[in-house]
Amino acid sequence: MLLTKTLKTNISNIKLKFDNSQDIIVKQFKVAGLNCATLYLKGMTDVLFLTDFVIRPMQNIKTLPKQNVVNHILNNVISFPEITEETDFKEVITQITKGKVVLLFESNSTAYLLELDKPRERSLTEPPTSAVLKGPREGFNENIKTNLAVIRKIFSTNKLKTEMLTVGRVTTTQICVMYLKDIADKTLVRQIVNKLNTIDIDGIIDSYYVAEFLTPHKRSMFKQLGNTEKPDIACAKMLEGKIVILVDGSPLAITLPYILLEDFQAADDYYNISSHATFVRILRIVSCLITVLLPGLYIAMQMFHYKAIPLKFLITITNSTQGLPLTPVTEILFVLILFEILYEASLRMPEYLGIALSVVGALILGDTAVKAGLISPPAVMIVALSGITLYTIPDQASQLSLLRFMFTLAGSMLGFYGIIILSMFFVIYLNDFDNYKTPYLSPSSPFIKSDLKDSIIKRPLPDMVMRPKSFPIKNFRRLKK
Amino acid sequence: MIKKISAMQCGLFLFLSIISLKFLVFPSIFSQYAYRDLYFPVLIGLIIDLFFTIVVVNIIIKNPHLTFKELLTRAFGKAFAKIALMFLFVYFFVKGVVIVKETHNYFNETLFESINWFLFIIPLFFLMGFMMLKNFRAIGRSLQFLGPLMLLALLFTILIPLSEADFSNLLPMFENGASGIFKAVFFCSFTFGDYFVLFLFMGRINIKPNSKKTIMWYVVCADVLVFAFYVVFAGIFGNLGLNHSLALSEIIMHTMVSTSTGSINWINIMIWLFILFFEMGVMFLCSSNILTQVFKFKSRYVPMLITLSLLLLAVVYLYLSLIKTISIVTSFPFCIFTIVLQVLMPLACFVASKKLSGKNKVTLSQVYNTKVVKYQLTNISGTTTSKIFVSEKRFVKHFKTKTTKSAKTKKLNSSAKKLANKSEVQNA
Repeated sequence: MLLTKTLKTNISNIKLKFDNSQDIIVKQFKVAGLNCATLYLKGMTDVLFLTDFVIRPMQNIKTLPKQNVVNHILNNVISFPEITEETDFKEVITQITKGKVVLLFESNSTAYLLELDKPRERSLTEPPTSAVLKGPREGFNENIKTNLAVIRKIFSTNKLKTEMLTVGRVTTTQICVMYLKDIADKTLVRQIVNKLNTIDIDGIIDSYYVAEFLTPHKRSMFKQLGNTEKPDIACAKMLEGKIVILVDGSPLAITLPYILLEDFQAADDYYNISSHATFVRILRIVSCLITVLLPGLYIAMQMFHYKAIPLKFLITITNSTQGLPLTPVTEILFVLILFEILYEASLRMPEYLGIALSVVGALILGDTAVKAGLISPPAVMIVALSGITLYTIPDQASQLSLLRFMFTLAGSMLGFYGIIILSMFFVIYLNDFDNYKTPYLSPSSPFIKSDLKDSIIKRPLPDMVMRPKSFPIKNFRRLKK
Repeated sequence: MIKKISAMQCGLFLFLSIISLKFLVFPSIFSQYAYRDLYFPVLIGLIIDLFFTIVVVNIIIKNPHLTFKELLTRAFGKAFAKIALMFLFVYFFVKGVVIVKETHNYFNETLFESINWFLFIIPLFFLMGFMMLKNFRAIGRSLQFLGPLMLLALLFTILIPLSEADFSNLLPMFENGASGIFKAVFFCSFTFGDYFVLFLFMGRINIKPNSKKTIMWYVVCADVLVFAFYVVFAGIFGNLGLNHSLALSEIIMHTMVSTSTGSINWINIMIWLFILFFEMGVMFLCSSNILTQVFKFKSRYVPMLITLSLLLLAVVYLYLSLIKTISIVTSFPFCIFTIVLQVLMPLACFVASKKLSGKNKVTLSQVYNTKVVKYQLTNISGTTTSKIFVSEKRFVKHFKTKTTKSAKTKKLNSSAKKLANKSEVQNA
């Protein structure tokens, strides 16, 4: 449906489309005898700017040329830098909902859209999920334009390409696919853009909605797309040839292709001496293994392979578990579930209550349970250790938590045998996992020697001459010597 | 599309194959015939194996796009290829069953006081079924992932008991004559022939200039480690080696050094289980893969279920009859079967490769990539050209060099890029 040449009809049609809603504001005025109108949504537009720089200058005009009246107004009176023309009625409605001001003239079937949306966004504060000791502290916010501008500020190059898409029938959310032209694989970009274009959903509220559609193995419990709240990380990933997707309304950018090792690398690693970064990465891997395997191994050793426990430790365990009403399995599972409940509750509680709750939970509840003879101190220690190490890799916390339960059950049923069988299942499963032409466990399998420079080991930046070969990219040379 | 494996992954498969059974159970059997000289028959067997491995690797490099079945079919006909494949099936399946049974014994020696046979076998069935549904690439990558751990376990197994080995036990040499050594080679022939896995990798390896070197490097490393293990075994147990039926667990669990070094022995035991489970999985994966090739099953589940059913029958039989699997594979008729197979298979491949060399050389376009090549050529120039390329890479390179001279070549370039992407996916 197109706009008509009659101003009144256009206004009434638009108002009708909004069901004469109270927040659709129509301001009609005359410009040297020519009827004009501005339409916008209350609260979404900067009214002061509209009055001072659009309406008042127009009203001050005394005479108009005989031809090209509208062009004269737009070019010489308003002088607004960004005016888009639209004749499609549906698109005009969409743009009003996005906060744009519609300028209509009598005997003109074109709507002129002025970008006057009120900036109402939070500042670019440091994201709580990826706080750093060194390095940039700026984080994304919920406004896609701001996020885009932040990235543009880092990349002062025309090689940064962006593809804007609109997804969601109701929300008409803007999605931006970003990549570096000479590095990213174009076929992969096309594949992703095509995938995004096929999404026909009513609404996109957060980037996670988009991520669900882009995930190659939908039923898998493993994370398959990277995400970041920091522009510096997003840019670093684009420099590696990855694609970044920004979603309006979400401070979380999606990055892909993704490999498992990415979550063991933190932003800090790149702003610190490389030997320390290597040490920290090894710590993270060890923590991950402790999280997943420790409760299972403890039960397996207690129930099946007590010979594997050093004698003194075995005596301590035997003494502390004597007279407990629960079996080793139920005891560990009980403490694990208790830990998960405490975590979930402290997350949902207001901040001040959350701290109190975790103190009450961890100290009082745990201590009382031990004193009451319900659980043993080693079990609390094992679960606490596994719980602390879980958050050394916060991005993997959800799946590691699930894996921990699985390994605990496997260890309780079949001892070391169960743990080994389950580990093999996961190792083979993950090795069969290709994520946008990228092996999930690279660079260790398949073994890519050059990529090891930034894997568990972090070599100094001058040593990283080439970009990672794990990803499908066009240009592998990073450093020119 | 065939998902190709790298030379390193192929080398790791061979490495795994070479070490598993030889470490697990065979030292005592070698010792039965050769006593303290048990490392001599091992050395002879390894050298023969190395020779055949070189032969098979050369055949693979000469015919990089021909699978075992295609090679034999083109040279001797379909029936011959299928019969050869079925013999290979028997070999792999029996090897798998032997490892299952011996791993159970290993369990009883190390991890559990006594684990129920069925409690042991049921989770294993799931794992084997899962592995059979995957391809060689996934398993190869898993081996790469756990490779460093496995190497560590091997080194521990050899190095930790080293201080306890008394190398004077190795002397005098040939005390019981040379016949025992040859008898050991004959009766333990089942533990050799590890190059058989290479038959399954024919046409699936991503051949690069240094592929042969990479594969052979892994084989030689495995051979050296096996030989070192046998020397250490003879050094520790001397003439009494025949009483230590499960060499691996005996060395890991019962040597003084091993038990006094904290939990290293337990870590070692656990890592060894990975090695054994992987080897079982590879054997059954090879078996189900052969079934797919022979009977052309379209579903991956059918060969998997057939192999698992056969395995179920085998384990029930073994449970009820109380027969030692190891005594079956070291029996005279089975040894004859094994030796004949170990000699005939590479020989057949060699003859087939010779037959298909020179004028009869099978080109890429004639074999598995016919569709891809034809599609590319007709799509690009409108006419089909008769140009044949030695490898996909050269094919891609050829079109990449013909850059933007005309509109037609532009098209060529883009489709060549598509093909390049395809081959990249394959080669990972």
